[in-house]
Amino acid sequence: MRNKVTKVEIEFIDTYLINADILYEDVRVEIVDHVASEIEYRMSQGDSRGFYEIFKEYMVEHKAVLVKENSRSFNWRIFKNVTQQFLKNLYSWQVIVGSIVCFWVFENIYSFFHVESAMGSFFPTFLMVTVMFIPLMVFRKKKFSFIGNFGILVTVFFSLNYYIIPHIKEPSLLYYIYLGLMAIFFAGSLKTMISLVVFYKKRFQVV
Amino acid sequence: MGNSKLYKGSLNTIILKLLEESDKMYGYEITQKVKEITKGELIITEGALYPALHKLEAEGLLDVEMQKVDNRLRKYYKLTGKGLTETANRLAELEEYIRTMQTIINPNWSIS
Repeated sequence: MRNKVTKVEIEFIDTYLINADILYEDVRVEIVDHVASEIEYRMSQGDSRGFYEIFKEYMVEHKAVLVKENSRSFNWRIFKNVTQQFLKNLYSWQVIVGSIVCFWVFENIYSFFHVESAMGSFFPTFLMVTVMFIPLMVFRKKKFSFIGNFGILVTVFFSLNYYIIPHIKEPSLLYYIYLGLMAIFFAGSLKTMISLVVFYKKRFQVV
Repeated sequence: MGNSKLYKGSLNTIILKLLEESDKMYGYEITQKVKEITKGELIITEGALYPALHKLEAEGLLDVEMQKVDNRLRKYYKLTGKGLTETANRLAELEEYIRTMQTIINPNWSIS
């Protein structure tokens, strides 16, 4: 009698959890192993009903607890954590130097088209896409909790630009404050995103 | 987590103690080990275990290692240097707590 879960059955558990909205890879990997280990334990104890029956029984008993792992409070904790990391990064020399460089570059870019022009309005979106493109390039379709929650912060900030842009007159104090904030946020989010990607890349290195 | 709210406050210390005794452990292994040691008296649920592990990891007390085992990835936890020191502190705190509680509940009882 077998007491190991097959590759196809592992994929079944994984797909089931994705459909149960456990979308983050880092959370799911651990749950898949937990569920598979429990099924294997039951099989080794002489449960001969077969994988799907045991899986169904286990999920009836534990689904609510497992889904809690992906709950609002979990995401809120991650969001707070990643925001703190972002704020801490703002004091790093890379972000300070990067912000000065970005400020200079942004001002030069805005000398070609005005802030309120179509191109100018698109610019914050371009910066947001640049930041979000990094994990997409490295991990493709895989989602990770820290990156996902940091993505929310980045999206909210760059979306706020569209409420501010119509009120900006060039050149004015507000214009320079706007450029400064955008430069700091862009440099900070770029550093945070790179460090998160490096963190997950290292973390998911199989030994 | 299982049987009593009294255990809840000690969950992190239990995890640290188990990891101190072995090189590395994964989530399911921890639940089974606790069940075995306490003869089923204490059941740690997934909903309590993983947030506790993630919190200890965020505090820098645990390090993780991924391994491919039987067609799937397995996340192993092990104590960091800081974790080792913290385990000793928390165990001493817990012993002190038990001693204090005992003096209230049963003044004639001694832990050591």
